[in-house]
Amino acid sequence: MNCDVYSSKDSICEERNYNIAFKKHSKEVFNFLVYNYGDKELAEDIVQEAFITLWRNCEKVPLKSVRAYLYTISKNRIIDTFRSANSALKYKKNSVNTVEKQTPEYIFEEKEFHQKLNQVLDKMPEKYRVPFLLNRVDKKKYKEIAEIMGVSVKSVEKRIFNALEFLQKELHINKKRF
Amino acid sequence: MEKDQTKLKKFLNFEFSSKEERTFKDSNEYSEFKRIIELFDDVKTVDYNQERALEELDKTRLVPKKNRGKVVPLYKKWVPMSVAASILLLISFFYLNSGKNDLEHSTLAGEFKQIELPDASKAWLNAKSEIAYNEVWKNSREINLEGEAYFEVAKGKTFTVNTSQGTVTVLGTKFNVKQRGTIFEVFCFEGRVSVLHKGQETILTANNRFSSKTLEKSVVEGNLVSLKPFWMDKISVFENTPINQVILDLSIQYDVNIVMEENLNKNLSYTGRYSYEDSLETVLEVLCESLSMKYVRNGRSIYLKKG
Repeated sequence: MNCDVYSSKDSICEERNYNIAFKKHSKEVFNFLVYNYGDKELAEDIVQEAFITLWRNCEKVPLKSVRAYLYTISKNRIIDTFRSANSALKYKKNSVNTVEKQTPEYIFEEKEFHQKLNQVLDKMPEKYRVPFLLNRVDKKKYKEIAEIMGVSVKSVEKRIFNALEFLQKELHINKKRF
Repeated sequence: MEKDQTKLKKFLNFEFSSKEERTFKDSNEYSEFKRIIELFDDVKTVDYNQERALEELDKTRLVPKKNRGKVVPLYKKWVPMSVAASILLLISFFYLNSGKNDLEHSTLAGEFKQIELPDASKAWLNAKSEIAYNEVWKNSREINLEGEAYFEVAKGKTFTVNTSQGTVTVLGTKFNVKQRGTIFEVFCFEGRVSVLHKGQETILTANNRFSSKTLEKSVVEGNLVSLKPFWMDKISVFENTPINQVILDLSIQYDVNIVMEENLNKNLSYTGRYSYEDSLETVLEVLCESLSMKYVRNGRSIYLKKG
C-alpha cells in the first residue's frame, strides 16, 4: 500500500486523500505563515482554518490544485490581518503602549544568536523576508517561491538579494568591500 | 553598486553542482555575503506539531458539537448533519430493539464469509459472527454486528456499525470490529473511524487500536502491523494475549468448548500464532508445550490442566 500517493480518480473529499494532503502540505504552509507573521500560534490557527475551508469546499477543489488552494486561503488571511492591524495602529499611535512586545519568532531559537536574527528579521519588510526564508531555510527554488507568492522569478531573485543586503547592513558585518 | 550577481543568484537557487559550488565559495563574490549566508545554514524552522494539529482539526471537522471559537464556517455544513446523525441514532435504536433488519448473515464456528453490502462496501465475517442490516440503504448505512468482522467501506455517507458494546462510525475506510461478550476492539487499517464506547468518543487513524479493556487507543507497531486482519489470512496471532482470550479464539475456530482446571493460573498470557488449517491437536500441543500444560479431550470438550 502506497501511503502518500493520492488515489487517482478520487477527490479531496475522500478521507484518505484529505489526510495525505494534510501530511504533505501542513508544515510547508505553516512555515510560510510563520515567515509572514513571526507568530507560531497565529500560523497554527490559520493552517487549521485553511484545511477546514478545504474540507468544506472539497468538491470544488481538484486534487492538483489543493496546494495552491491552501496557499491562496493563507494569503488572503495574511492580507486581512495586516489590513486590520494597520487600521488598529492608527488609533493606537496616541495611546501609550504598556505591554512589552514579545520578540517574534520566524526561525527556531536554538542558539543565542538566533534570537538576534529573529529581531533583525522582524525589522525586514515581509516582501524580502518571506522569499528569503523560503529560500534559505526551506531550500525552495526561485520558481517555486514565485508560484507561492504570485510574483515573477526575477522579482524573487531581487528580493532575496535585497534581503541579503538588508541583513548585512543590520548585522554590521560589511567591513570588507572588494 | 550594480555588480554582476549572476553567480550568487545561481548559487542561491541551488543550480550549482558540488564542484561548481566549491569554486564559487572561493570567489570574492561569495565572500561578500559569506557570513550572512552561513548564518542561515544551520537555522531550523519553528516547531510544528503536525500530529496534534491533525487531532485538533479532526475534532472540529468530524465532531460538530465541540465548537471551538474561531473556525465558524464549518458549522453551516455540520449542523444539519449532526441533526441527521441523531435522528439516525434514534432510528437505529428502534431497529436494534425491534430487530427489523431485512438481511442477516451469520457464520458458524470455524466458518468465514464474505458479504457484499448494498452499496459495494464489503464485509468479511469471522467465525461465529452475525451481521444484520436493511436491504435498502437510503440515508444511513448501518449494520448491527455480533462477533467479529472486517469492513472495506465504499465512499459516501457515514457508515455505522452497532454492537452491544459500542458504536463505530466511519467516512470511508478499512477497519475491523470485534465484539465477543464484553470484549470490544476496533482496529483501523486505513482512513479514520470514530468509536463510541460508553459515551466516550475515540478517533482512530491507521494502525490505531481501541480496546474496551484499556479504554483508550494504542498505536500498533512492529510485526503486528498488517494490511488486513490476520484472521482473513486464516491465522490468529497472539502477543502477550491473556489465556482466556486465546481459548475463546480457539473455541470459535474449532467449535469446541475449552475449560481450564481450577488450579491453573488464569493470568497466563501467550505469544504465538496458529493457522486455521492446522489440526486442533497440533495447536493444543503447541499451546500446552509453551505454557507447560496438558490437555484432555472428550468429544467437543477440552480440559486444560497443569503439565
